[in-house]
Amino acid sequence: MQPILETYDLSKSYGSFIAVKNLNLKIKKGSICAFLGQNGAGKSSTIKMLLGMSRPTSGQGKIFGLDVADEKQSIEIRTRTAFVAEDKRLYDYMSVGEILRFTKHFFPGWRQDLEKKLVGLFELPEDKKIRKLSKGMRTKLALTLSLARGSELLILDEPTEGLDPLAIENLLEFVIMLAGEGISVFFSSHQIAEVEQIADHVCMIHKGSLVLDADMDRIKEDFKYVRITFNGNEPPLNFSIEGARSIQKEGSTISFITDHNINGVFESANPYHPGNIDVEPLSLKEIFLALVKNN
Amino acid sequence: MNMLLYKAWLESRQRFFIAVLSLSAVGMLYVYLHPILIPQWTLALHDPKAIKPAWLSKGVYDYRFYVWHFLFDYQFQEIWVLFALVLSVGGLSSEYKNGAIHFSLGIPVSRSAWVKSRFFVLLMEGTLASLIPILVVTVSSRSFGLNYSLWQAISHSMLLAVAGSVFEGLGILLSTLLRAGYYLAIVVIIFGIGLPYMIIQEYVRESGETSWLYYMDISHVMAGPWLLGWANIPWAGILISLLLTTFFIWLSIRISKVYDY
Amino acid sequence: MFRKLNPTSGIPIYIQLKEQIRHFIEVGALKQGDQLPSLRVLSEMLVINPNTVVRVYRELELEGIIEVSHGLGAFVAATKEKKIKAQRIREAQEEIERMMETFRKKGLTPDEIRRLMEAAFVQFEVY
Repeated sequence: MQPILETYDLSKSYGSFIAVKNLNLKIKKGSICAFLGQNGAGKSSTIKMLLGMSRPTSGQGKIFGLDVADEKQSIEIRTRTAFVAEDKRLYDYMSVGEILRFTKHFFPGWRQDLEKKLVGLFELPEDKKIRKLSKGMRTKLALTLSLARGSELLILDEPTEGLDPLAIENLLEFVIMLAGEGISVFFSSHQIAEVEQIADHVCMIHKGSLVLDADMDRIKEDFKYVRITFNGNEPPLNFSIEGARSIQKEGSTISFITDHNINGVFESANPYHPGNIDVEPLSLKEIFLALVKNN
Repeated sequence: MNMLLYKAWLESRQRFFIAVLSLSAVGMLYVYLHPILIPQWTLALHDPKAIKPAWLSKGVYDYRFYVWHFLFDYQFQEIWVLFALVLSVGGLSSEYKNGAIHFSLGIPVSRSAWVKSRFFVLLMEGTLASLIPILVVTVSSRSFGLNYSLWQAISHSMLLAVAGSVFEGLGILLSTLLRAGYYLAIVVIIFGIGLPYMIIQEYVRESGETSWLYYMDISHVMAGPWLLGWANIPWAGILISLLLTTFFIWLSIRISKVYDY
Repeated sequence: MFRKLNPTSGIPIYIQLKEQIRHFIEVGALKQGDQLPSLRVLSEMLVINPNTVVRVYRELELEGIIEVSHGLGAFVAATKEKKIKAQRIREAQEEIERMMETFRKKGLTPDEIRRLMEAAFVQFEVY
């Protein structure tokens, strides 16, 4: 089955600064894929390239099998994609009602039922000018303008930024509902708890490169926190385990995070005669921090 | 496309109304000044010692010349140009600074459609901003007992707007290049285009047709002959202006296709 | 009846959901023949990925705890109480074995362990 979104060595540099480096993504249709990374890691640069807002320096991107760098194909991609930008500003001089009428004109598959539901859910005031809306209201409007498009793919850049907890929950429920209808979701977020809740696939970008690309279940199964206790003594100086990150030594224990096979960890540790080995599960947040705080 | 036009209209609506009001005020000002200036001019005309411009006689006896001289050849034209430049700011370039750019670019519309719709609305606004105030002048002149030919009113205001479209093209080109916010773009455009235009106009007025700058003086084409008829429409000037405008818009489209936003 | 799951607890969400469903069956909140919420309804209710619910229902079906009939939905299977009991006993047995191993490593003799167990039972029965 062809991936709904794929990139081949996609790269973007601004002068000498490399924002995105040889990115290879493959997102399956029907997946809810989270795109994690620090600010400036390359998330927005990637998304902008996918939507035809900026040109790749090299490499290729495809959505629905169409080339993102070709203007005509990009227009077709955007007809079938719902996009919410990180910057949620809209046309200040229009009212809520005006921008809804404006937007729905461009999307033949516009879902009037979803529009009605979202306007009600978010309590959007039809006649109010956008320049008079609070930031949270603007975000809710931006989300409504994209979720009602009836698209096959949602690309959301920080969709919950600035929203109150109830609005966030409403949004996540809505996304789940759309996912239930077979719609694919590609979203970036700093709220790792949300990601953990709804994503089935995670891509993590750090300094322009992909450092993680796996199904959520695999990540939770593979990544473990390991604590090795050496009886009474300090851990041996030359003790090292392949694939260990965020290594910490404290008293007679050495602890680290690893995604390597646990049996391999045991084998590496045995020659040093450890007293006890604890293997514990990790939250996605801890995994993320371990991957970006690279030592 | 309709929606793009509607959006460009909403975006510039306020500025358009200010333009129409201001230009109407300028027009009305000169209608009001007529009964004050004419007696003074008449005196000067009969005074052998006074310095008289060649057109003074026409100005005193023909209201059509009076209107042409102050409005189409002078104040009204200049202020129209400034407003045309102010109205040309907007679209993707301003949104780049002021935010909605990513919303606009997420919509399945080509960059060329954004520029073209912006330009089309600008042309309409520019034409109406010339036509409406002049019609106001024509109507209000009647109440002062002055007759201004409707044909002259319509043909001159249309000529001004059509020949002046070159400023609209330049305004869009510059704002596309600049990608600055609304206010900064307006300031730069007024100084970058408006100022040279006025300087050239003044200079040519002084040195007459002998200067090479005469060929760059678009204001001459925009004003046209004071009495406009089918025989003396400045076709060459209009054609050059339209060609330049088309070139500027074509260039703007090419630039916006290439830019990363 | 269903409670939202904790994504950050370290226990995978699908395991938490399986546990919840097993628990409901055990305590009688879900009885033999009761219909479980549909895939979409449950995923929306708990705000979790629909694929997770797919997996949970599939695994529970393999374990014989629920039955899925196409077009009709998912239902609590018959005699699941016995099956859950059997599973619980299996799990308890594994836990006891792990505990014994730990005690042994700590150097306790079988006799010492037995004495500790018996003392614990006494307390257990009293309470």
